[in-house]
Amino acid sequence: MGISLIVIVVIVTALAFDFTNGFHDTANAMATSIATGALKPKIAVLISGVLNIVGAFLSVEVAKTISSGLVDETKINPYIIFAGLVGAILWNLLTWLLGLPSSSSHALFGGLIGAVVVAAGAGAVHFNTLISKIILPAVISPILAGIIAMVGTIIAYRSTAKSDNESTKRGFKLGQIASASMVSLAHGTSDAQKTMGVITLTLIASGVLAPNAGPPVWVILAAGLAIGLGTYLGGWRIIRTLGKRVSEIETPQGFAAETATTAVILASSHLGFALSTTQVATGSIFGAGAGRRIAGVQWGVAGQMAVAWILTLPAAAIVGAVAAFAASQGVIGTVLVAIVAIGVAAGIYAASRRTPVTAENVNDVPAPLAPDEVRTESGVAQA
Amino acid sequence: MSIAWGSLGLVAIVSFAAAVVVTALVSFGIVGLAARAPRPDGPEPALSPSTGTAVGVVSLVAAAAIVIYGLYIIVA
Repeated sequence: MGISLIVIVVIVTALAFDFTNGFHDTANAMATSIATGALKPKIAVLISGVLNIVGAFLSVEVAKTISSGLVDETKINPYIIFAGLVGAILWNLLTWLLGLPSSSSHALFGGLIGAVVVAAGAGAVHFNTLISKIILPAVISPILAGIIAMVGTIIAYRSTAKSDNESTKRGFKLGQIASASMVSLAHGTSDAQKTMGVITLTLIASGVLAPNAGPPVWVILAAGLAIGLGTYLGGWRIIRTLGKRVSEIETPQGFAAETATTAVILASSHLGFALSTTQVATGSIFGAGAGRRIAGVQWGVAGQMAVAWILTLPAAAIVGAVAAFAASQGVIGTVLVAIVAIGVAAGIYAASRRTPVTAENVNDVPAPLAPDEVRTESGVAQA
Repeated sequence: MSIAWGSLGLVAIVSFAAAVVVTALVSFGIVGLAARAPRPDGPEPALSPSTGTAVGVVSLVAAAAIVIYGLYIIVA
C-alpha cells in the first residue's frame, strides 16, 4: 500500500505541530539563561535548536509509548490523527499568544484522545496507559523537579557563600551554558519523539508500517528538523514569562533549575514516560526561586499556570473532538477543518503582532517584586 | 489498573541523586577555581590556590563524567 494524500497531509500537520512545539518550548531550555544574561538571546535559540535536532536521535522510547499503546491502532485512521493534531496546534498557538508555558505534550495527547473518542468510541483509548504513563507522571514530575531544583539551589548558594563573588558568578554563568544546552538536548529527545510517535502511528494506521514498528530514520530526521527550526525562531512571549515573571533568577539558580530539568526529563524519557518538558522546566524554575527566597516567587503566576495546565488536555480534546466530527463527514469536512484551522492560526498570529515580543525586547520588563519589596529610583529595596 | 510505581520511583531517585550530585560537584568546582582569584582586601580563602585548582578540576571532571555516563546509558 502506497502513501495516500491524507497520510501526507497528516505528516505535514504533525511537522507543523512539532514546529509549534519547538517555539512554544524554547523557553524551557533558555528562559533563565537569557534572563541572567549567560547567553545572548539569538545565540541561545541557535544552540537550543541545533541540540534539539541532535537530541531527536538519542532515543525512541517515548515514540513507542505513543505509537503502540496510547490508543488502539486497529480502530483509528489518518483522519482521526489529523483532527487530533489540529486540536493540539490551535491550543499551542493560543497559549503562546497569552505567554503561558502550557504543555505541548498534553495538547497533543488531549487532541488525539478527543478525536479518537468521537470517531472510534471511548473503548479505543487505553486509559490505563494514559494514567500510568502520562497523567501520573504529569502530576509528579513538576513537583519532583521543583524539589530537586530547590535542594540544588540551596547547595549552590551555601557552598559558594564564602568564595570570591565575581569568580563564582562567572563560574555559574559558564555552568549555565552547559546546563541549558543539556536541557535542549533532553527536550529534543523527549518532544521530537512525540511527533515521531504520531507520524509512526499514522503510518501504522494506514498500513505502511507493521504494528509495533519503531519510527523510520526519515521520520526521526524530519521531526528533529521541525522542532529545531521552531526552537530557533523562539517563543519570546513564553521566554519572558518564565525568565522574568516567576522570580528574579540568578545564575546559580538557573544552573540548578536546568540541571534538575535535564535529569528528570532524561531519566523519564529513557523509561518511556511521556512527560511534559514544559511542566518539568517550570517546576524547576519555581523550585530554584524558592531555594533562594520563598517570598521572591510570584505564586500568583504559578496559579495562572496551574489553571492552564489543567485545562490543556481537556481543551485540546474538545477541539480535537469537534475536528474529528467534522472530518468524519468526508473530504469536504476534512478540507473545512484545515481551512478553519489555518484561519484561526493566522488570526492568532495577527493578534500577536499587536504586542510583539522579540529577541530585542524580551528582557525589557521590570523584575517581579516580592510582597515585602518596593521599587525605588535606584532599583528594588526591602520595605 | 497497573501503575509502574517501580519505574516512577526509579525516575525520582535517579534524577534526584544525579541532579543534586552534579550541582554540588559543579559548585565545589567553582569554589575551588575561585580560590585562584587574587583577593587583596577580602577574607582569607578557605583553600590555597593550588589545592583550589586541584579540587576544582577533580570536581568538574567528576560532574562531566556523570553527565556523559547518563547520556551513554540512554544512547546505548
